[in-house]
Amino acid sequence: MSSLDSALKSTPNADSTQRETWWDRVEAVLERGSEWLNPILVKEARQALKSRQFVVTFTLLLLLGWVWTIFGVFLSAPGIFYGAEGKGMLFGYFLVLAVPLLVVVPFSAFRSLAAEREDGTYELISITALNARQIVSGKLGSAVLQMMVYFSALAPCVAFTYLLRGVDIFSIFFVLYYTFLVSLLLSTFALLVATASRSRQWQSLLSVLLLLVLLFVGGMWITFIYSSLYENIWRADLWEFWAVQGFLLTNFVMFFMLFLWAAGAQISFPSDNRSTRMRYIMFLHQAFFIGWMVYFTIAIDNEPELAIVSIVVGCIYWGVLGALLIGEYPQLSPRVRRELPQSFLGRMTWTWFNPGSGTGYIFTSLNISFFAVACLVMLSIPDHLVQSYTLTIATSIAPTVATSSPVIDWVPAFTNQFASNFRESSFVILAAAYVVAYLGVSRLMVLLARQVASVGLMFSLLITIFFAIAGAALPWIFQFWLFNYRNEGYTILQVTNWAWTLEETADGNIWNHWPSPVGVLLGALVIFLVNLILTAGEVAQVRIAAPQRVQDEQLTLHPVKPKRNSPWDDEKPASSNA
Amino acid sequence: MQISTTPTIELHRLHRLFGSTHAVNDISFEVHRGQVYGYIGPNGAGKTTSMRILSTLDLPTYGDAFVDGFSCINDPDRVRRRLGFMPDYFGTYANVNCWEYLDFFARAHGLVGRERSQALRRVMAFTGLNLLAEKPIRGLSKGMKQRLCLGRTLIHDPAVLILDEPAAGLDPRARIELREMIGQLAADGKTILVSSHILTELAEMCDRVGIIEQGRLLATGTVEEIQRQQSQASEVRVRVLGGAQALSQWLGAREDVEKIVLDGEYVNFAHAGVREAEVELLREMVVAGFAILEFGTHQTTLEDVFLQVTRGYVQ
Ligand SMILES: Nc1ncnc2c1ncn2[C@@H]1O[C@H](COP(=O)(O)OP(=O)(O)OP(=O)(O)O)[C@@H](O)[C@H]1O
Ligand SMILES: [Mg+2]
Repeated sequence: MSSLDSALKSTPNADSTQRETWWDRVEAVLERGSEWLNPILVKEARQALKSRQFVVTFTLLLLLGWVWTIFGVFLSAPGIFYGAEGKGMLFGYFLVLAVPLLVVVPFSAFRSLAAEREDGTYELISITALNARQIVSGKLGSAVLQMMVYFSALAPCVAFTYLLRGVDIFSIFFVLYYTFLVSLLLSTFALLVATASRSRQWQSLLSVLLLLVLLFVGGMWITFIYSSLYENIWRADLWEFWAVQGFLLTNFVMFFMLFLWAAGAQISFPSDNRSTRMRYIMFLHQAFFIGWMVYFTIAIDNEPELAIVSIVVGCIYWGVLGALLIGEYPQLSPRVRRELPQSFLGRMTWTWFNPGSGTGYIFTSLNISFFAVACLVMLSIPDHLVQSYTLTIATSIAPTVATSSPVIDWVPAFTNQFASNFRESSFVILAAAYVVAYLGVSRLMVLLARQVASVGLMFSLLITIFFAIAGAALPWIFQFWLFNYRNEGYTILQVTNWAWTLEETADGNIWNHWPSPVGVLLGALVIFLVNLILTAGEVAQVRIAAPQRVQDEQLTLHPVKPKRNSPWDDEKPASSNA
Repeated sequence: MQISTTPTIELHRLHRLFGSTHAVNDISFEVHRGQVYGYIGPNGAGKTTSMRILSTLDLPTYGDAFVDGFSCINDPDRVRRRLGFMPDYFGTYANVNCWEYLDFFARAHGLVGRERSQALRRVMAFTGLNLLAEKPIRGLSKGMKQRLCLGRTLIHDPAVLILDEPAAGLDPRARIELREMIGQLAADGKTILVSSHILTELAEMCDRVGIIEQGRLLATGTVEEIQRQQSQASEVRVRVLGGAQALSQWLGAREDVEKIVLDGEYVNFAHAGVREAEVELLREMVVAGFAILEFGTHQTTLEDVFLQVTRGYVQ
């Protein structure tokens, strides 16, 4: 009985009189396993087996692998097992893999999602039980499947290089591991690009741009791998190497999630909450980044440059994401408002994660301020607290803490360190203030533009870029014109010119023009306060109850005891929660 | 579970603007469980637009639509679970056969294991696709594609079906089969909203119809109700043995009769009033001594109604 059923399951027209072959059994097992897989992955795996593009790429890959093996072996025939041919052979195989992994797989992921949207099949899938993120993950899953197939096709060849001299197992592993990660990230990015627009014209423009990006990144990666093989950077014997691996992997995972969720959000239902989850990821990403930087400062190298690099990265990160966040719409759909935090404390903290241009601005400003504070802390960690080449924070700090008398020794130590890094601290504070100020002005422009038209993320991004360029270039041009094209050095006119002001700060001269940095700080504060006042309307949105019909269904599907609103009303029907 | 007072489909003051085009303009109607509602209107009337809103593929500019009491704007996931939408296009994939296609959508609807294989068998048998299971879908004929589309729509056994021009491009035989399938589905208790240009067919299939033009719902109800709303008078044709002239004079004296036309043995005229009044009129004729051979009110078709209601504007 059950065998008949499974046969029927795997092949719809299975003739029940036919004897079950081993292949039928394999199919039945696969079928049962596929139950847990993403439906899109199952569909695309079936399609790929019949598709010409896949078969051609795969055959070509195998062929090239073999050609390179024969070619390489003949080239160094007499001493292949004695000379250091491993690196050359490995790089050759890497090249054969690079094209499908770095270009073909991401681009076909892009095409596959874009085609669903063009052909209208996306609409058909979107009204099934699959949500937008599952659809994107399904697409990504099939990209991963393709990568796996390509990897396994070349696996014997790569194993062969290990037998040769000149290349160690770590190099082989890391070349493949990072190529996989880069391919995965590029595929996720390609999916994000595919969700950017629906119109055919935009799609074809985007596909050209994406192809250029892929070729560029692919080229860079190939150059990097080449030099990495010959410069021996895969030093698994150094523990710093592993720390850097951890840092890279964390960032990779966070960017991966950011792209994946952004792609899902772009194609999700319009009344869905598209922002809150993205903000969680950004917040988490920043926390991890700061954590790693502080760790590097304490455990590896207490150099002020680390804080400078961090704040520059932070400003670019929050500048770009903030420019997008301020373009969001503040009108929350009733669907989103059903899930707003209710308590006072909840509203104080979680409100900034709600979708909206004002909350987005405040969220970004708070985060960049937090980032700046973290950098300042890094700049004031006293040198004697830091011992290089120790494994963990605990072992590096513990002895120092134990031997020093607390507070009395510590405070001057920190303040002295901070004072000696005054130049760097100024840089950190001013850079963050510029981000707060420029985003604030852009947000005011967005509010103004919304009086006449409905503008979104694209507008806010472009207007921010415009302001950032104009704010730097115009005073610069003006000053040169004013002084008859002679370079008179930095003047107070350059207060909006973030590039020159920060350069002057890095040179340590900014406080000679003290009205300028003070102006930047006061300006940022005023702009922030104006924006904060204008955000009042967004913050005032409160939770609404789900409609009766939804509550009824919820109760029949999940019959739970209704939550009590306060300790005093003990047994009340669910509908009372408002 | 079914709350009988909630209409299964409800459109509430629905508007949809595309720039300056008012594609859907203040449309409201309700469809109850087990009913087939026909949606008719000229090209560009706004049928597809309102059906897409109902299927959670588009958002209304104002107003809301409800499926089984759930808002299409705020609870799309709950609506989607209950609804099967068959659009006027056919989304194909390369290198996929009929069975794989349906299997994919069954999985996408969250059907697993035995449940899925049963759903597939049920749908393939219902739409007659059994013999085509292994055929690649890119090579299917129009009629077969239409069946596959219907199969895809039915795979998760939805309570509400929204079919956008399901009969387009079908041959007469396939159309009759489609009509039977829809009838069967309605008998199973499914609520169906179906749009079409082929009026005679809709008239036979539907319990009620809505006539839409330029985004406005001009009339809704059964064909007869709409006819009555539209014109007070019904056309009556009487055959009388001898004395047609006399009958027309007799009729001419009455207040509720107009537009008398003599046509040999026949007298055609317009009669204002409900059916009971028509019966009364016939009785009076007989009592007055006319030898009535035939008495018939002209059967209005959906086509007549449609032509009367719409004005042929195109936007
Ligand atoms: N995406 C869109 N963008 C702009 N205008 C649209 C869009 N979709 C529909 N319209 C316009 O809305 C109006 C109604 O279109 P709709 O497709 O709903 O008509 P229809 O009743 O389904 O017509 P048909 O019988 O031809 O299928 C048309 O004027 C159409 O041009
Ligand atoms: Mg249409």
